[in-house]
Amino acid sequence: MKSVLQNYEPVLGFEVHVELNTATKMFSTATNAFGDQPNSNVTASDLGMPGTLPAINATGIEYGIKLGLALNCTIAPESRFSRKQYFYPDLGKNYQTSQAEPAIAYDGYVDVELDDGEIFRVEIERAHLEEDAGKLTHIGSTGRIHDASASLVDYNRAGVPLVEIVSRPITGAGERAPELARAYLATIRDIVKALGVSDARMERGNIRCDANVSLMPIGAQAFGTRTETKNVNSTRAVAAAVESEIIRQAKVLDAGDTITQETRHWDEEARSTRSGRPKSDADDYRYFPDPDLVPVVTDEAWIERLRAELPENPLQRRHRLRQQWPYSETEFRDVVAAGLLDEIEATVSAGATPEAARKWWMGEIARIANEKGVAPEALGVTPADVVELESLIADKTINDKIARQVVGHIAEGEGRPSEVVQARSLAVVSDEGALTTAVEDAMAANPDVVERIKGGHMKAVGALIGPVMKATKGQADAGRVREIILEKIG
Amino acid sequence: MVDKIAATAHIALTEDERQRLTAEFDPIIASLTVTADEQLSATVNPLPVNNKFRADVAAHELTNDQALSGAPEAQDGQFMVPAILDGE
Repeated sequence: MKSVLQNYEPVLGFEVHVELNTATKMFSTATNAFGDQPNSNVTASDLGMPGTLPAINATGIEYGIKLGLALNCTIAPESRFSRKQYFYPDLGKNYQTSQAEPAIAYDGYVDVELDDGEIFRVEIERAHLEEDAGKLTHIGSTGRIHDASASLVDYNRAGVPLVEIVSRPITGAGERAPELARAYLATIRDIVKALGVSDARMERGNIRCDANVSLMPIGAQAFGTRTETKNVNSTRAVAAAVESEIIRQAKVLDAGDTITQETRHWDEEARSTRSGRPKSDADDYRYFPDPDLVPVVTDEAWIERLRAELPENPLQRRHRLRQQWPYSETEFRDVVAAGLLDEIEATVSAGATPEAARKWWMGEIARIANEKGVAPEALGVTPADVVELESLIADKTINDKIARQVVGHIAEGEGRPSEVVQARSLAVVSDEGALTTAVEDAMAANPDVVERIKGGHMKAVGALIGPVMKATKGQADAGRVREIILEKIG
Repeated sequence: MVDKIAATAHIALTEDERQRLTAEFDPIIASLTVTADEQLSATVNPLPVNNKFRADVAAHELTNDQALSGAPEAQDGQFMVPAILDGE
């Protein structure tokens, strides 16, 4: 990678499709949901039935504007929808409803934080609203169909609202191009997640990225011929695809050959891109304004109302929390990577210290969630639970070990911490008589240990605390047990 | 012009069809050219209406059976169509 970049400057460009999480589709009243029975979330309009008309989803428009604002874009005073015609059965209408010029949002930028904290600004050309296509499953070689191969079409996804975010060509990333690609996609994901306009689950295809890569000789002015690698659907894959494509193109150019302008596909197993179909700028989609849909006209009052609803920018929020919380660089990065900023911030707001919030979320809660194969925030433990656990520990109602068990019981739906402690009688044994008896039993059973303590081996006290904790099922206050032992021996 | 439209529409024309359509298209194209010369803006919709939106509420959904009722071929609750593998 380093050696190929001695001669070439990589130029990147990204088209990121974000599926919006509206209740219904962009132009029809069918439900927008993932994983339902095929062809059950459809109206006649989604199937392209004659005589049906589209109707614009107001929430889809507002989500598009909000995303545009979060990307620092200008919101078009007037925009409209156009028909993009193509031959493929994944849309029943034979065209995709999309936006030609102007898009709902254009001329923006997004600040992307690289691994070392450096900020790289990526300019956004446009963010336009359109609809997703249906899902095709190709069959034929399976023996289920005689002779001919065929495709099965599920139109549940056809018409789901999308925002396509198109970057301007990105230069200057050099050997950090793959890192920038990953960080850019992660930044877009964080923004749409914070806005709440998308479920942002990349493994479900809620966010899909096409990566354009070209190389130009260092010092050149004109961009080289680019390839477009389609549907790279994870932050790791986009970095690997960009790197693989830079190396492949450099080899072609070094050999004196030329790059073919084409669509390529990322092959996750081979960790490389492979050629798809040739692409020419002559692809004629015959865009024309959709006569069934009237223009979208925005005014300042509307835009400002939506701007006021925007959450804090995720990058600025990370910087703020990095300052506020006394975590080390590594600890903070781990929290970010675990996706637990929201939970920890909520727990701190509810009254816990940042250290305690981190300890619980990154520790026992994450461990149990991992065991169950769910996300920590989906375990059923709330920020208020964590605060309550901490106060139960602080007033010595339970100890740390019991508190960890309580988390497990909360995850099983047994109620809030104090309810679990009461229902399961987990409170620390504070009955001095019971504790004293347990200590005496332990001393009687371990006379040699008692002798060692008498001889000044204070560390041996632990060997007596163990049996006492066992006898009280872990519910004794270890500090108090130690005191009683020393009183008895001393 | 006829060749381009035929190619875009994925239609193969015989030489006879090509000549007949060229003769029919020429006067249509000529009249459109006159309009273009007058620099009129394109009319998409004659009504001065903007921002016709609907609420984000589900309605009018078909059942899977209804959706497939007009399909020439179906399998596993899905429409079955000739495979087109070289598109995007």
